[in-house]
Amino acid sequence: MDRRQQKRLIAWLLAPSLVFVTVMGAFPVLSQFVLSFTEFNMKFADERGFAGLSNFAKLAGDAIFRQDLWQTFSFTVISVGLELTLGLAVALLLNRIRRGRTVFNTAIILPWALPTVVAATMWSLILNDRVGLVNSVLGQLGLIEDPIVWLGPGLAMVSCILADVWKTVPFVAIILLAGLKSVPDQYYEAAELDGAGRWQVFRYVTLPLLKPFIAVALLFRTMDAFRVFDVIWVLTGGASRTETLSIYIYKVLFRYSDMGYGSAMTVALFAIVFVLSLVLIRFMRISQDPVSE
Amino acid sequence: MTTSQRMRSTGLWALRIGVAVLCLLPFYWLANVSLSTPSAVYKIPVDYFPKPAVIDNFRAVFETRQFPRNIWNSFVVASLTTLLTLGLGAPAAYALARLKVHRKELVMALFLGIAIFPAIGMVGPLYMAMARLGLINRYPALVLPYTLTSLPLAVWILTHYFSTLPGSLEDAALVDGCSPGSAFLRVILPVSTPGLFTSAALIFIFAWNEFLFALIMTSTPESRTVPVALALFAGLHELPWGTIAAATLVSIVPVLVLVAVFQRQIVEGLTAGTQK
Amino acid sequence: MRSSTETQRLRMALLIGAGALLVGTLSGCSQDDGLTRIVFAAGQDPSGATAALIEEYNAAHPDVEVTFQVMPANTDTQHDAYTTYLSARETSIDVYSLDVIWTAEFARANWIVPLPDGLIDPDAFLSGPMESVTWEGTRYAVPWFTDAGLLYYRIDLLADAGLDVPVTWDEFTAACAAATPDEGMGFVWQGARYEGLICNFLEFLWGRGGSLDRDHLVSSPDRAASEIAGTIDFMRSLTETGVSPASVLTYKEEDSRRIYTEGQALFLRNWPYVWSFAEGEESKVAGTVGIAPLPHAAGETSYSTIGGWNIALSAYSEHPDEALEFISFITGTHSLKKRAIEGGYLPTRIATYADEDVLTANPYYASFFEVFKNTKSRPRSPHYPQLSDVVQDKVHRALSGEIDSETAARDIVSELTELYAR
Repeated sequence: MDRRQQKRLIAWLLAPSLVFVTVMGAFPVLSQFVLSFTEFNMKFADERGFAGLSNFAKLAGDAIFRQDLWQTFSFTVISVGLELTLGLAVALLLNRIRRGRTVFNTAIILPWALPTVVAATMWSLILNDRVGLVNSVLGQLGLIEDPIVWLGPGLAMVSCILADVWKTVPFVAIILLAGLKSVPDQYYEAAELDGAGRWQVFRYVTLPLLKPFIAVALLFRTMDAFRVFDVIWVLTGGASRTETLSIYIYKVLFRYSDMGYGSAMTVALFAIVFVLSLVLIRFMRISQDPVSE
Repeated sequence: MTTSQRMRSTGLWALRIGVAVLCLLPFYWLANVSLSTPSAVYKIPVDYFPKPAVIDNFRAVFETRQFPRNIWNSFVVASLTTLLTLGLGAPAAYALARLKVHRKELVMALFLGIAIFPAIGMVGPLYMAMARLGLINRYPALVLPYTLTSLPLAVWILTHYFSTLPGSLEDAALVDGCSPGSAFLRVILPVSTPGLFTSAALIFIFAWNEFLFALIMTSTPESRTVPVALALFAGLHELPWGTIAAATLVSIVPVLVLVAVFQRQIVEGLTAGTQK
Repeated sequence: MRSSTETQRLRMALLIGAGALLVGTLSGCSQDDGLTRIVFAAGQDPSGATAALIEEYNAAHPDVEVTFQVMPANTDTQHDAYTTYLSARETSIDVYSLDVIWTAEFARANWIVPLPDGLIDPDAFLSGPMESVTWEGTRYAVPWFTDAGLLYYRIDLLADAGLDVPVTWDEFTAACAAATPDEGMGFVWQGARYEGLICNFLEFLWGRGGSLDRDHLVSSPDRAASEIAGTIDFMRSLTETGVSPASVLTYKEEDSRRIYTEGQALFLRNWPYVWSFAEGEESKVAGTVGIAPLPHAAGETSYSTIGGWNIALSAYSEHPDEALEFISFITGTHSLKKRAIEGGYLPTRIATYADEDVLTANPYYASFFEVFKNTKSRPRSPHYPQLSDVVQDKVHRALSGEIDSETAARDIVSELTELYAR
C-alpha cells in the first residue's frame, strides 16, 4: 500500500467521527469557554457583560470550590482504587470458570445495568438507619446495638463510595475480562512449562498483558469518578462533606442560573481532569509493555 | 484432585458465589419491596420476605402509564446510540491503532477532551440546538448527545483493543489481495467481537441509564425513557416504593435478556485473533 | 461463515432500519388541524384528577387542545427543567405550575408575565398563597394548591401521660420526656440537607421571634445572628438530648412520616399529606392522630412555612388568551374541588373549605384551615435558590457539628444580606 493510498484510507476512517465530534461538540464546548469570560445570569439577561478573568478570580477565592475539589479528589482516589482492585479480583475469579458462566456473567453485569438514580435510591433504602436491610441484619446478628446512621455525618462519604463501587466494579471487571480473554493460552502453558508458580504467572504474564486494559479502565474510571454526580446527589444531596465539584457546578448552572460563573467552573473542572488524564497517560506509557504496542 | 486443590476449588466457588450475592443483593431487595404491600417497606422490624406477597404493584405499573412504551424508547435510543457510536468509532480506532496517523496524539487528545468535558455544561446549549432543529421528542435529540459523550470511550477502548491484535492478520489478508479497507471489514472486525461487544455493552447501558438529557429533551409521557418514567411514579411528598421497585424490575427485563444472550460475547467472546 | 453478499445485504438492511428509526419520533407526530394547542407543564398527579380535568376542558372547547406535560413531581427537578426551557425561550409550553418559592425568580427573569387585573378575585383566596403570587406589587400567578407545616401528635400517648397538647417548646420537651413510646422517639422532622430543611428551620426560628427577612437582617444584623444561633442550638439540643434521633439529619418527608405511622414517634412535623396515610388502612396509629400548630417559645407566636404551587403564564406563549382561559379553569372552584376530593390537594380558595363535598371527602380540612391562618413565606428574592442553599448548607453543617452555631449564623446573615442587595 503506498503512502497516498494509506492517507486516503486514514481520512475515510477518521473523518466521520472527527466531523461528528466537531459539529456536535463545538457549540456546547465553545459556548462554555466564551461564557466563562462573561458576567451572565439567565435570570438577569439584561445585565449581561464582559467579565474578563473575574469569574476565574472569584473561583480562586471560593472556599466551597476548594473544599469540593478536595472531597472530589478523595472520592476519586478511594473509589477508583477499590474498583480496580476488586474489578481485577472479580475478573480473575470469573475468567476460567467452567460451570454456570451465564449466571455469573449476568450477575456481575446487572449492577452496571441498573440506572444510577434507581441504584442510589435503592441503597438509600437499604442503608436507612431504621428500616434498612443492613442495620436490620447487623442488629439481628447482635453486631450493633444502636442503628448506624450510614448516610449521616461521618459515614456519608463511605456510603457514597460503597454505592459507587458496587455499581462500577462490574464496569472494570468487564473491561479486564475482555483483556484476559486476549491473553493466549500458550503464554500460560509456556509459563507453566517453565515451572512458574501461580503468583509468578500472574505477576509476569497476566499483569503485563493486562496493562493496556487496566490503563483504559483506570483512565475512564478516574475521569468519571472525578465528575461523579448522581450517586451522591441521591444519597446525600451533597451534605455531610460529600459535595463534589459536579454537584456544585450543577447547582450554579441549573439552580442559580449563573452561566458565567458556572461555565468558569466547568472550564476549570475540564482543565483539572485533562491534566489528571495526561498525567495518567504519561504514567501508563512509561509502564506500558512492548507487547501491547 | 488433592485435598489442597479441592479446598482451593471450594474456596474459589465460595468467593464467586459471594460476589454474585453481593451483586444481586439490591435486586433481592427490589423484588421483596415490589411484592409487598405499600406499608411493608416501612415496617419495623424489617420483613425479609413479602408477607403476604401481592402483585398489585406490577398491576399498577401496567395499568396507569405508558410504561412499556417508555421501555421501548429506551431500547431504541440505546440501540441507535450503540450502532452509531460503533459505526463512527470502530473505523477511527482502527486507523489510530494500526495505521500511521499523522498527529495521532492530537486526535486522541481531541477525543479525550470531549470525553472529559463535563456533560452538565452541555445540556443547555444542546437543548437550544435540538429545539432549533425541531428534534425535541424525537430519537436524535437523545441519540446524538449520547453518541457525542460515548464516542470517545469507544474510540479509546477499541484503539487499545485493535493494537493488541498481531500485525500478521492484515498482512495475510493483503497478500490474499484484499484492500486495506476490506481487510478491516473482513479480517479485523470479525476477530474483534469481544472488544466490540464490550464497548457495545458499555455504550448501551450508559444510554439506557442517562437521566438529565432524557428529562430535558423529552416532554410527553409517551416520549420519556425509563429513568425519567421511573421518576414520574413519585408524588410531591410521597414515594410509592412498591410501584417504583416493580417498575424498575420490569424495566430490567430487556436488559437482563440482552445481557444473558450476549454475556458470552461481552465477557467471553473469541480469544481475539491471537490464536489464529 | 455467511457468504459475503449475504453479510452485505444484512448490513444494508441494518443501516436502512437504523436510518428509519433515527428520523422517527419518540411519540406521535402532531398534525395541523386548526386547533389551538396549549401545553400545561406540571408535576405528576398520581390521582389522575388533573388529567381528567384537562380532558373535561378539551371536551368543552372544541377549538382548543390542552396537553398535560407531566413532569416528575419533585420540586428541584421541575425547577431545573423549566429554567432550561425558559432560558432557551421555549415557545411550546404555555402554562407552568410553579412552586411558591419561584415567583420572584421567574418574574424578575421576565419568564412569566403579569396577569390581567380582572382574572381572579384576590379576596376569594387564602392570604398566604395570595401573597406568594405577588412580586414587587404585581400579580404573576394564580394560587393552585397550598401546603403548610403541621405538628402531628399521638392523642393516646398524651392522654396516658395526662398531658395537654404542648403549646410552648418547654411544654413540648417535657411531654417528650414523659410520653415517648418505648423504643421509640419523641419528635421526628426533616433535617436532611434539602429544601425541607429550610422549611423546618424557619418554623423553629419564627417561633422564637426571629426572621430571615431582608429588612430585619439589614437593620439589626447582630440580633438576627443571635436569633439564628439560638435556633440552631435549640435544634441541636433536640438530637443531643435524645428527643430526636441523630439520624433526623438524613430525614426527608417520607423517612419521618413512616416512623410516625409505624407508631414509633410521639410527635411529627410534616405537611398535610400525612393525614390520609396516618388514618389509612396500613397505619398503626389510625384513630389516635392529632394535629396542632407547631410549638413556639414562651411569649412568641407559632408560624407554619407555607408551601404549595401556583399557575403562571409563560412569557413565550404564542396563545396567551387561550392560555389565560385555561388558567382560569384549572384554578377555578370546580377544579380545586375535584383535585381536593380525588387527589387530596389542599385548595387555595377559601370557600372550598366550607364546601360539603370537600368536607365529606376530607373531614379534617376544617382543622387545617385554622393552621393556615398563621403561615409565613420563605424569604422572597430572585436569588431564592441560592439563598436557600446557603441556609441549608450552614444549618446542616452546624447541626452535624462541622461548624459552630455562631459561625453558621454570622455566615447566613452576611451571605443573605449580600444576596438581597444584588
